[in-house]
Amino acid sequence: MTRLATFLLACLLAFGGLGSVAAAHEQKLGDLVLHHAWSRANPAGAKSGAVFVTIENTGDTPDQLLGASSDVAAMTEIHQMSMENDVMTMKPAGILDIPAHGTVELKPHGLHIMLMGLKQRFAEGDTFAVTLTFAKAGSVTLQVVVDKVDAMDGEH
Amino acid sequence: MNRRALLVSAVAVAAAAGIGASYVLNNKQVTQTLSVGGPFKLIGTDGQEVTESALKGKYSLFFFGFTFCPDACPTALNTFSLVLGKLGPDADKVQPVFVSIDPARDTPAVLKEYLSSFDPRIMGLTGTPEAIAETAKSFRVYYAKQGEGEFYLMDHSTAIIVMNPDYEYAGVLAGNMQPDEMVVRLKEIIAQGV
Repeated sequence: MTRLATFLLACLLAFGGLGSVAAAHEQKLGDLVLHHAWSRANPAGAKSGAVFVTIENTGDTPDQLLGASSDVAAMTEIHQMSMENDVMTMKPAGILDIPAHGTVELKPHGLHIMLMGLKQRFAEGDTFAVTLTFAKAGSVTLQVVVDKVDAMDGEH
Repeated sequence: MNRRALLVSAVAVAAAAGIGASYVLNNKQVTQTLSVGGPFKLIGTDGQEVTESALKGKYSLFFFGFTFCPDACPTALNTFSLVLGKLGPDADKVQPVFVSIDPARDTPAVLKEYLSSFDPRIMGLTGTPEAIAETAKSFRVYYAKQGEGEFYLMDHSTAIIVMNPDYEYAGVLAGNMQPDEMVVRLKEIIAQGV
């Protein structure tokens, strides 16, 4: 117990407290920085889910997100949700351009990584892996953090 | 919400569904011909037949969606759950209804399991493709299959349609309305006895 407390204190000191939790979720891949991959707790029996992440390109050359994969679902695709009047539409987004010195946000009600044929249920606090593949930077496996069922930004 | 505003909202629903253009051209015609909601014969989560008579005596809130939906539908159902909690004693006057527009996948059992994650007072309905189509049409709700194979998606209207205790159209709420705002709007509708 004391050892755990010491460990937690060390973490707190190392990361400067809760304010840096998001920063701790950053992952780098070449010129790309992937900020805080997150998902939502889902209802019982849910067969689909969505993963959100912000992709920042710090380099001078554009890149492209070619696709995503995950063991938690039978099929994983990049999708775009849009609302026209009150009608919600979702469809595959194809290849996503990540402009030089640009940022692409995958967020609720917009672009997202769509998990179809879910093999497990996510509860708040769970983590799971999703791999993104970029044309230039290559592949990176993200640790996705599961937030509340109604979370909108994945930040507590 | 006054009657005129309600009609404007109804037109917005109809227009969103892509079938109300001619109504908008002639406002007088709107008041005479526009109706939202109608009789239905659907199937509840225990496989039982449910008709509109089950909703008389309460303000029913209709949301049309599907369980394979990763975003708008769980959000709306979560909002319903929170709203019921926040309404206090008025929650007894309100009946949220989730109608599946994906009956091919949303059997009563699938719907029952899915809804077990939300407030148990939310009613889940599915039915034959024909019965669902007819119900959606009477509520001016648009839906369409998107994609092929096992993991197809559904485009659908996200508006929440409110019916009064006499099962007459009482208004429409945005599907992405925040719970606190929805509580205020519902209390207004209940207080006015629309």
